[in-house]
Amino acid sequence: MQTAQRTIVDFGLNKPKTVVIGALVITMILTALIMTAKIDTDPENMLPSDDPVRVLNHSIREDFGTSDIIALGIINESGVLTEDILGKTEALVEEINNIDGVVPGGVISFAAASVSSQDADAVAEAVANNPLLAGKVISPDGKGLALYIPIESKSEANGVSSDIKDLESLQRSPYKRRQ
Amino acid sequence: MAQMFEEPGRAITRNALIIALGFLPMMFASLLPYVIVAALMSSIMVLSWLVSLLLIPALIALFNREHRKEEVTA
Repeated sequence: MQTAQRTIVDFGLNKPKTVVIGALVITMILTALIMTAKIDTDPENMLPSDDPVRVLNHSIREDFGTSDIIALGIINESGVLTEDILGKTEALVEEINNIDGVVPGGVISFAAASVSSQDADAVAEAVANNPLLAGKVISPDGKGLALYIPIESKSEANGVSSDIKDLESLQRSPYKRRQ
Repeated sequence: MAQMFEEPGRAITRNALIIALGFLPMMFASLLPYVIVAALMSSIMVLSWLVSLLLIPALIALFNREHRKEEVTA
């Protein structure tokens, strides 16, 4: 170790220009490589992809056909059970179903049931009595709707959610946008 | 000059070695971020060791040479 250390120090003393220029070049190359770094915030990737837990989780998902879900909330302080909002939400669901990366026809929502406003209250009551749906697709106070959008792959979640935010029907009223 | 680096160099070398080796057991962690941190810290220590022993003497030699030139021309 001592001789190796001596060799290194001697090299730095004898060829200082080579060393300094080499250090600059290496620094520039590594700086350029920083651009290719990707930020990965998916906690699942904290385990290696061949980890038994991940493999089991994946196979269970395959067996049950479950996919990751993006939730979209629609809030109207004066109530969401109006023909206007339900109709627009239905159109929105239609649009979302056509987005690339969304499981086609997979959106779970109140509006997907295609109800007219007269029936809406009756359906809302039925929903409230259904333990699987109560408080899930429509809020108990009737001021919020939730859309559950299944996506084909988690890696597409960001693209799909920005596609949804860009949807024209979401830019218009009566929807209030919340980031 | 090389003699001057002998003793501090030994300290630098041992310090870098101990810390680099100390982080290596983390390579066997099951969580990937730990493994990445271990690899990063170990390589940082090796790199800083190299830079201390290679770049600093080189910079000193370089500035020293220019300093001497100035003395000669003056």
